[in-house]
Amino acid sequence: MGVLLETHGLVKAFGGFHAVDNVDLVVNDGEIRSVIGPNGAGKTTLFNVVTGHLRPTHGHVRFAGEDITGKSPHTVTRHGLARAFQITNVFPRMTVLESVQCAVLARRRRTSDFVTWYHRSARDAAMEVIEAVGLVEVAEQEARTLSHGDQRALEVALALATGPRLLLLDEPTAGMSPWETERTVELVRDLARARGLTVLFCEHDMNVVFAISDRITVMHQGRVIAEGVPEEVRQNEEVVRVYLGDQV
Amino acid sequence: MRRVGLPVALIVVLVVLSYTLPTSRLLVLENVLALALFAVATNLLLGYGGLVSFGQASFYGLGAYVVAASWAHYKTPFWVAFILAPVAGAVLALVVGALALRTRRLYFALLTLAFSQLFFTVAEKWYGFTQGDNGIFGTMIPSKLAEPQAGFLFVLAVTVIAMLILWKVTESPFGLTLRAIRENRERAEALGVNVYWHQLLAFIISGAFCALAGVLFVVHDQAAYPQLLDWTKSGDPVLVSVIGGMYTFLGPAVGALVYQYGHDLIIEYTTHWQLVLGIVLLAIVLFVPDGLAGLFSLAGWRRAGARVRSILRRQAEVG
Ligand SMILES: Nc1ncnc2c1ncn2[C@@H]1O[C@H](COP(=O)(O)OP(=O)(O)OP(=O)(O)O)[C@@H](O)[C@H]1O
Ligand SMILES: [Mg+2]
Repeated sequence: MGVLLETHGLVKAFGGFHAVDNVDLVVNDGEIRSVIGPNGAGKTTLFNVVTGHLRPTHGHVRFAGEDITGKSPHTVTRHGLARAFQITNVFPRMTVLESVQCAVLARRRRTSDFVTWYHRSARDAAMEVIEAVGLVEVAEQEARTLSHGDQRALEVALALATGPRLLLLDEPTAGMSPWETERTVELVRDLARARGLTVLFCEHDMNVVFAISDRITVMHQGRVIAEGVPEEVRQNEEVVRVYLGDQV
Repeated sequence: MRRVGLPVALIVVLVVLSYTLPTSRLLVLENVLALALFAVATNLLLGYGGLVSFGQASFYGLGAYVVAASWAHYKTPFWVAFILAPVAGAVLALVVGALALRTRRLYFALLTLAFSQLFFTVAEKWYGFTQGDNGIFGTMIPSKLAEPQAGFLFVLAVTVIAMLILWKVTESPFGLTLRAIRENRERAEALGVNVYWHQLLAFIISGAFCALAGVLFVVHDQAAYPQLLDWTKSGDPVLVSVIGGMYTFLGPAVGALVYQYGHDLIIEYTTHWQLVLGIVLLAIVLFVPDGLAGLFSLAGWRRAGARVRSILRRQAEVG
């Protein structure tokens, strides 16, 4: 089991404020890793730097042995690192099927093909992903008409359809009903176990975090303050003090 | 099948009309066709790409000037110029797009406007080549095409073929991706789409077909003059697309029809054509953002109804 994602001395400063402060993160191939921490700890910013949405102030990001520091988001995605956003971020006037087809086409580098018909291209591959996230019934609906939970699922489907090796999920179950949360947890577990995907996610629902994480990284004020298997983290005094304490 | 039926019926009607309409009316219809192609080509950017360009007249005018100037200076045969014009449009669009697409939204619109003013000035001042304000007039098209009916059928054929190609583009993976970029640029990027490249490609295709529409103008008018590149000319296809509906492929063509005949009808009753146009635009933007073409579908009516209700409700809350 090799290292898939590695950050080294990663810093992201906004003015004088260090939102991400000297983070060394090592994610192994095939693991489910969660990043937890209070609001404003720097989790989303860390994701943004890793996926190229923000340029790091210092430090490096390596993915599958290649330096991807500061590369543009679409290049990072092509390396096999896909992202679902914390704020639901879909294509409002496009149907679920069209949206996912677009992601599949992007994976196949076929998006500038204007000779074939998109209805036929990538339809089967798209439906497969839509089935995996449980959106078959609403496949022909425009994204703007979906329920919040379904939009979150579409968010995951879009990331998944780009054919990643590493899936980054920013609070995948935020705002979901208990039933939808359970569906998402099962999906993530299935993706990692059955398809060998590596998952890096941040989440405030501790039931979800402790249920599926192989390892947990805890952030506070931009720094990593603890890391380990769920049991270790649960018993870490500092973690309990800054974060878990007010979760119970 | 339904999607094909209406356009085919329309083409048949137009061909029949070419045999029955008096010349003056046929020429108006020819004008509508050129405007329709100009608008549909512009709408590839506006409706599909979400890019508001106020400079498409540059390409339209360029298309006209390629035919007129090459005839005036080199006696180039029309058919050669006919092929050259869209190529020239594509090349110019590559240059303008490569620079303007580095910016977004308002800045993009302003840059395209600035470029079009630049080209307008060139057309006006480069007297030796363009004959400046006077424009270029003359028998620059084959005598066969100068006959009203043949000319009309030619314009019709070019418009139909060009629209078929553009339609194909919008229904391709590229067209789908363009819509995704319009809907959510960041998300499309996160899927691995090179946004800049796709928008540039759309800009080039649009530029080529706008130039082709300019050639059709020459078939209609046998002239080219600087006003063809004026920024108000760039406004036409944008207005027409909004009126007809920029989220449907043929919406802008419907808009072109309504615009032309609406204009002709209204100026018979009032000199305030601009005022009426303004009111119509306002009503469309407020109540039927999907445009007139949106009203052809049941869903369009429902959305328009919901829109009116919500505006009334908000008014009631405020007042
Ligand atoms: N573009 C920005 N400019 C300035 N400050 C920013 C910017 N983006 C984030 N921050 C700040 O960086 C800190 C970390 O924010 P971030 O969104 O990464 O937190 P988070 O851990 O994802 O929190 P949450 O759990 O609420 O999602 C916050 O204090 C935030 O205000
Ligand atoms: Mg966050």
